[in-house]
Amino acid sequence: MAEYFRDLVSGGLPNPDPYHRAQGHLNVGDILFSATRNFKLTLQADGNLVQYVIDDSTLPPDITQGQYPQAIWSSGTKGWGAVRLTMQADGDLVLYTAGNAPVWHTDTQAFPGAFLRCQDDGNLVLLATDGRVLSATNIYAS
Amino acid sequence: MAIFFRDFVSGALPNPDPYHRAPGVLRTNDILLSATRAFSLKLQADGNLVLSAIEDSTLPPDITQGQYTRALWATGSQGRGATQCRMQADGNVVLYTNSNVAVWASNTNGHPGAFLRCQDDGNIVIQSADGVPFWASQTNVQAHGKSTMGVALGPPPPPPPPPPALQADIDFGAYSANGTPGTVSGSGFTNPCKVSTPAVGFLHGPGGPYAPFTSTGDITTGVLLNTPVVNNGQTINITVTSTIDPNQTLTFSKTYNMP
Repeated sequence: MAEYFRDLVSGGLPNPDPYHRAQGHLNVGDILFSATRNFKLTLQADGNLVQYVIDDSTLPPDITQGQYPQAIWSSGTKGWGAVRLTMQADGDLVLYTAGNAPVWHTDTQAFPGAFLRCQDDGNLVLLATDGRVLSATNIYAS
Repeated sequence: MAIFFRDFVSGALPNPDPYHRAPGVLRTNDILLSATRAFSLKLQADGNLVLSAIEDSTLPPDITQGQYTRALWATGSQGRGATQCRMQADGNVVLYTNSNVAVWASNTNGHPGAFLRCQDDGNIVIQSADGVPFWASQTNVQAHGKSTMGVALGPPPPPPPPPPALQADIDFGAYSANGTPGTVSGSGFTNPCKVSTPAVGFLHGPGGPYAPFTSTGDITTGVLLNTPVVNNGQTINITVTSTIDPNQTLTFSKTYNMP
């Protein structure tokens, strides 16, 4: 159960990474926070990839203790056995089962080096190396 | 140019306030940040009160240096001289000029003790002292068009059924050199003999390992042509290994007693 910030990249991070980015994959229970922690993306034990927003009414002075009771987006893969979200070197972001069966993906395998970013405005985007948006949840503050 | 966090209240705050809330007045260039710093409400020098989101593409590792360049909401009062934003005791939020002319108001008076909160979901909310919201900028996180994030491929195919349990039942007799049947004692044997799943058998006897045999169907006494010649009183062991699931083995042991 590790905590990462902002980006899930396919590789090439220093170890340790000063920015606490996630490399390669998120396992069940791992969390990818937006840079300021107001949003988080987590791969749940039920196999669903879910993004939550922090609830201000529960927010104590220590914001690292804030609660995220409200889901704003999910992959819709509950019960399908996903145990790993993999950011592949070919640019595809894939949810795999323990038996390596893909159950969800972004279909972006033609963009090597693409990475997932959990933005501070709530949008979850898959970015190409040149900054082009390949996929987005389009759920954000506006 | 002061920085405050989260709440803009009309009443007295402790001094210093451990939560850095904004007391009563925001002045030109003062900033009210959401608790996590993701959103910023600022009274600009041009008199406009603007809520902005941090621009992720410009966000450096030190998030306190992030740039709030994406405006979500504004009072639209630029150029009208506002230099103060007051959270009034009556619940109204009002922009005033230096000469106390109101140029914008939330028109939420009638809620004594109300306060304004800059939320981490991007919304600005004016709420009563007990937390009931009655005004909002409605800039909270919400869907803007269709998501293009991901394609469901469906659940994985069901796992293959477990391999059938290995059932092997081997029997063979003992004969003296002149063909007189002897007796066999041992364990793991019943009659009739068969191997009901594809299996590989290995014969081990006093002389060491022998050539394996393979069967894909039933075998009967007599098929085990590789049965070694053993001496009276000696024991041979036969291990049958499933070719489907190599973890499944059965071992038979026999001791020959020749007449």
